[in-house]
Amino acid sequence: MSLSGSLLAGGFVFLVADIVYVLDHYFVHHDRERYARTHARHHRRYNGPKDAPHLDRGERATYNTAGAASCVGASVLTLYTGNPGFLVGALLKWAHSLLFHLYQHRWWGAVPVGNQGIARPRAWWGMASWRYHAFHHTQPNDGRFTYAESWAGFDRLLELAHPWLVRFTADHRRAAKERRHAAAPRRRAAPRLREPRS
Amino acid sequence: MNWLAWDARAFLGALVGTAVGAAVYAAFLPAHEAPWIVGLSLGLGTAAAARDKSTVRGIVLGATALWASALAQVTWMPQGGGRTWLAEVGDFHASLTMERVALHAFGCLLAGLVAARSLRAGARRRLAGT
Repeated sequence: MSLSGSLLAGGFVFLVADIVYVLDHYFVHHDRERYARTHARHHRRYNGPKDAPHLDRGERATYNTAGAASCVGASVLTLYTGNPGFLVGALLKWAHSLLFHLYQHRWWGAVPVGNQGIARPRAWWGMASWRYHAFHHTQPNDGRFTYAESWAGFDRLLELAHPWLVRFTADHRRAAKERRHAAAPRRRAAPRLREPRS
Repeated sequence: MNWLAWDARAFLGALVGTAVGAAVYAAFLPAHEAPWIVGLSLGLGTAAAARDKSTVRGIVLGATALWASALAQVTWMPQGGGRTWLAEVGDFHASLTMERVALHAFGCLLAGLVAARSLRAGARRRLAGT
């Protein structure tokens, strides 16, 4: 297997995993119930002053099980093609998630992130810096998306896709269901008027 | 959050299912080459042991079934040439034909569909990332 083939395979797995992570981050922020049950804990922890080490048990479990699941899929591609790049790409992405977490949360200190004067990032297509991610912690629901784990360009693409993609979010489906329920009794309550017989 | 979406019971069920499936696969050889039996058995073992339903578990174990059926083929039907078992695993891709790929993929599909379920009555669906 050529080196270029392995590099392509590794890059492919890395890119796909990154897209999946960004999409999941977008969807969890558009699902109030799942957010409250899972991701809110991470936001609460980091939005206060630093009182514990980075990467607690819950965060490690999130990254490690996601990394292991990616490796299972990528290792199958390696087994069936003989290209080790797939598995290497998944392993690198796993390591990247843990290391990039430390970089993206480097602002966590004695002063809470909300008091650090983090400005709204410009809509750029470069790397998602720690300032970029700090803004996510202060304004997670801002119209300028900051869900990216590494390349901010994914957020720009998400902003473009949002009017269509939002229809698939749990919050949107829940709201649509509530609207249907709210509209149904009114339809039943409205009596059908008949013309009086002359 | 747990993206593997399995617990010790489901994991044990998957292991037992894989072992039974590999044995049945070996019993049918050489008359019938049916690696999909490993995937089906893995799925059934998981569904029998699991307390909840989980789509993520189905996806992960569907991929795991591809490993299990490949290892069963390498173990019971090696390419030969005096190579070690590990070398056989490394060269597994060289033994693949379109028909074999389809049979292994069928096993993956069966494992994924069945392992996502639970045979327990009233089992709840486990959501992604929990």
